[in-house]
Amino acid sequence: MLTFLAKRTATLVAAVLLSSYAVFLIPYVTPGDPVRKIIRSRVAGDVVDDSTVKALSESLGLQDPLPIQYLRWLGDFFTGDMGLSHVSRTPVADQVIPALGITLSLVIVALGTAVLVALPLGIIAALRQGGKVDKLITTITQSFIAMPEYWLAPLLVLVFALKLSLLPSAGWSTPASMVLPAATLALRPISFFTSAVRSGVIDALQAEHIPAARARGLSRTQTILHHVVPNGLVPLSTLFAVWFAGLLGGSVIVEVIFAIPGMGRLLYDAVINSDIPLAQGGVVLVVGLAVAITTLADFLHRILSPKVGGTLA
Amino acid sequence: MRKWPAIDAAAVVILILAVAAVAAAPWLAPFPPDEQNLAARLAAPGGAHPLGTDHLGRDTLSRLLDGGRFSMLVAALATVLTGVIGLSIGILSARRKGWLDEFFTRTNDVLLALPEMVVALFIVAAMGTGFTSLLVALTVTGWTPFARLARTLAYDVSARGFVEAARVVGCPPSFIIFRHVLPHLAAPMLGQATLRFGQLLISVGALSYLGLGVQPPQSDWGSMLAAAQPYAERAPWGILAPGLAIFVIALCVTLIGQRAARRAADPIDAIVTEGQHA
Amino acid sequence: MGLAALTALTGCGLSGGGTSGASKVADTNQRIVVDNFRAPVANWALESDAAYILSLSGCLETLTKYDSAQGKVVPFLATEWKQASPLEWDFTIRDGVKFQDGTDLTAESVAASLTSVLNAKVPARAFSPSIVSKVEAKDANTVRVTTPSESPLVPFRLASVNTGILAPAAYQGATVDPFGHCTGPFTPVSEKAKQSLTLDRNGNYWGGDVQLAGAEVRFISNGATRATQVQTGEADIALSIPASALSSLESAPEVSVLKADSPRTATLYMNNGRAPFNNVDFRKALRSALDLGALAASVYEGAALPAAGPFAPSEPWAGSATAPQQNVEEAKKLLEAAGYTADRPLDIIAIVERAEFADVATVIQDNLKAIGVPVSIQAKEYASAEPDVLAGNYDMILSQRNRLIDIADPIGFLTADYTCKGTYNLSHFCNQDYDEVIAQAARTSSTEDRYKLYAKAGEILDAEAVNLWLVNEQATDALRSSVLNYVQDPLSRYVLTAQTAKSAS
Repeated sequence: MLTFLAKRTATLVAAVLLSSYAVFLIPYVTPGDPVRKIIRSRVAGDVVDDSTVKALSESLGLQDPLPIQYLRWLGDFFTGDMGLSHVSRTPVADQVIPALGITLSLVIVALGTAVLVALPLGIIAALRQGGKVDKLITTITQSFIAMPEYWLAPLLVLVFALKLSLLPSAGWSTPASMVLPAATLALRPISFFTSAVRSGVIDALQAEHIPAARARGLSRTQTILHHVVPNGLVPLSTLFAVWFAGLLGGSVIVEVIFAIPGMGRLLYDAVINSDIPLAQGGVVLVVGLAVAITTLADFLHRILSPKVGGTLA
Repeated sequence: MRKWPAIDAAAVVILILAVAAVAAAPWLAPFPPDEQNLAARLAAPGGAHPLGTDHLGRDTLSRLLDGGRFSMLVAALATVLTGVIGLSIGILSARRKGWLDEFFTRTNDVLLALPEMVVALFIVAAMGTGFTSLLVALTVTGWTPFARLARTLAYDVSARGFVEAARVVGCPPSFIIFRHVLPHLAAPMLGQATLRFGQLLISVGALSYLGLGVQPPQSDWGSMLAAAQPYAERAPWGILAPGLAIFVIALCVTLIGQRAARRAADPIDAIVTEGQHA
Repeated sequence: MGLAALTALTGCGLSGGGTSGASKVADTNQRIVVDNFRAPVANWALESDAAYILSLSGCLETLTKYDSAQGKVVPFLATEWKQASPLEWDFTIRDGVKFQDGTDLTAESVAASLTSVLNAKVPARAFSPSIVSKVEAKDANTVRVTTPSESPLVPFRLASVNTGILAPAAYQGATVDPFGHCTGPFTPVSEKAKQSLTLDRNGNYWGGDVQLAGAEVRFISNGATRATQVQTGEADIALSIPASALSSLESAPEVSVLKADSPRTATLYMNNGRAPFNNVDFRKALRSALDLGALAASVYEGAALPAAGPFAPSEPWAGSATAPQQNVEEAKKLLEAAGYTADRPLDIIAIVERAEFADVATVIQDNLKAIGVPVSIQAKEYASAEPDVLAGNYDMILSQRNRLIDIADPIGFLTADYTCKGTYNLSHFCNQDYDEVIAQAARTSSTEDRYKLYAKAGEILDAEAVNLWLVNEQATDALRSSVLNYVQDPLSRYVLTAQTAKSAS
């Protein structure tokens, strides 16, 4: 257990360092002068003379050699200071943390919806394994993986926001704003979750203690509820955690289409604008959180999965 | 392929037809994909334009076929590259064990934590837009599912008696790999590759939707979607055509791939593997 | 009693989308939602573009204001001004104005505010130490602005939003704090970073009763989303509607679209310093090859007009030029005269900041193909293309230029863009006659004479076909029919005013 945790911590540190240094390199590998880009993002238009560029460059500390700048950032980071965004000159933490909060809530709602849909569908499909209902459920949920978000989202907006005026088309103001984006994000997880629940329940149904429970006099429903379903949930919990980590940075398209000020969009804007402090702050948070969550997932998998030697009800 | 249900068989047929149509684009397309007709913008499907025209009067069907070449080619190449890389790393990792295995597993974990889209953005920002940078962007993050699968399967095989026997007898490692390990991996890896092709096609579409793909006037499905979106209310066929193309092909490929993958590997592992590249 | 009820009913009546429906009655309890196209930057620093947002939301005000309808500078926070000496201008500050924190507007506070803008690290284009040497309070209600060289345009400069006046308390911290320190009809109360700014009515506004109870200004960079929000009613006003959304908005009930000439012209810059563009016949050939009418009708859906030279026809200094007509035969003849051979495809850089430019470049590519000039397109961010362009290492770049970006006079644009030493001379154009005309204009204080000189400069540029001016873009705003008394500003500097109102229905 300890070695497991130690290895995972090492992974975390490595991931964070690697990704933050890579982000650092962005303005130096992309064409164009980073300082000019920053000035452009603040003041549209023309005529930026060299003395201004130089002055700004010095005040942002961009004249120093790369490793020095990186170490400086690292030092600040460990004291909790994520620096100021180049574009908005406001603290990175003030932008990154709310954005993370928004994405987290979007992801939780989306995955929660996915679980609520997948659970009953998966159980039904497993109980009717091989039959028409099973085939129907399986085929339909499988097709969700093939649905591109950038197609579904505009279609949903067209129908629900423009034609029917039922839901907001963009933004993150009311609870109704969550419906379309969460629905879009939930599709692919529904597909995988349904599959997982179905397989888990099928396996559980074939386990030995089921006939024993029935022999003891439990009704079919009770057997299912108390013995089958919990076992079916095991792969789901691992999957949930894995998808959670994946969607943290993978919600870019949905956030861009629905103008949601979440983490995905923040990273997208930061990379496009070469706003390094902002990109750093965002990447470090997302990567750190993702590794932590996948670690948790593996942990759960080990404890809960019968195949790896855990115990079950 | 013995007793495939009708829907999976249909998927294969559709896929073959689509690939053929796209490959034959230069001969099949009714108009040159770049030919503008500013007088006939956003024309409805029918007549000379079976799928209508876009906002510059270009024939949607022709652009769909021509754009399909770009999208599908990038996705296919990326699948092959990531497959080969993942396979090699996975087998090496499983056979050598020790620190190499540890290293690759850790790298795998690190890469999984990086948001795919952000890495792609970074690479395209650095390398500019276009075929090569898309390919690199997709390859860099995409090999992990293959590596994981290959590693698991290689471990499985290695644990079997005949491999141990071969090693003891003195067969060289490369012989063991080629003769014993690879054949065991072939089917599941191909299944995985088919699945991944679908996902990569969608990813290519996503990146070009964001403007990181082709340069105008070249078309590809993602950028066609993005370009048609502002006119969606007036001309909905503009977003239906490319979106449907991506969806249908990804669907066919997914159905085929899932059938193959399900046959081969442990269901839980296959699902967890699939789920890890969200 | 019944009559009053009837009047109220007709007040809330159905009107099919008129602009400021006279039949509607303003409800002073209403709040309004405005969708703006960009978020504030640089933490509200006045020398950055964030000043535009403060101005349009009705918070920030300046000493003078440029009235585009009248074509001249009008009083705002200053009531009158005169040139005291060649290098000095005196502005009389309006009486009885209070900042939103209750302190008085005095010459001292104005001078302090303007001086801090002057001292900014990245100074504003319109108001920097090279243009203004100092600002000081001459007496209790007069401010003296001193310039390093004689400048007839100082009143214009003080209409720039970067010269907005804030209370002394705004400058206490390390960065400027506009909250509660403006003079305008609305005071900001809260901000959701990068999402929106919420404002409340300023009960003590010097300019009269404020008709709206408050406002929310949302920052939405996607034009199609802004258009959708006005259509569904989520927003009351949407600024800068993309051409593609115009036709759906124009046919939508309860929505009206306002268009105004704006000083923005989409321009194809050609690198005059490099072959084949260093030959005037070649440039003219390209000009004759383009069908500007079709371009304006297709990509811009009629929301832009074919350009006739560097100015817009409604500008007082525009000459009498007409938009060039497409003439393929003549184009081919000019190509021959220029001795052009198609040895390599020419590059057009289309900047991604304007989504429609990819399409514009595609149409131009088609036009030029018809006369035998092969062109390839590169979509790039302006910032990454800039170094090469400034260094003269490019063929053509499609960009858009706001002639009146800092002051309501094109002298800045004409100097920076086309004089031999101009700092923004993307075309690498150099012509002695032109430079002389511009130098003369800079010294001319008579507005009429200056405008004549500008027209002359424009003619030189046109005759030399320095660039291809494609279309004069129009500023398009969309409103719900419940919005009353909206006056469109082509540069979106003034959106929310004391008179802006909204009816209940």
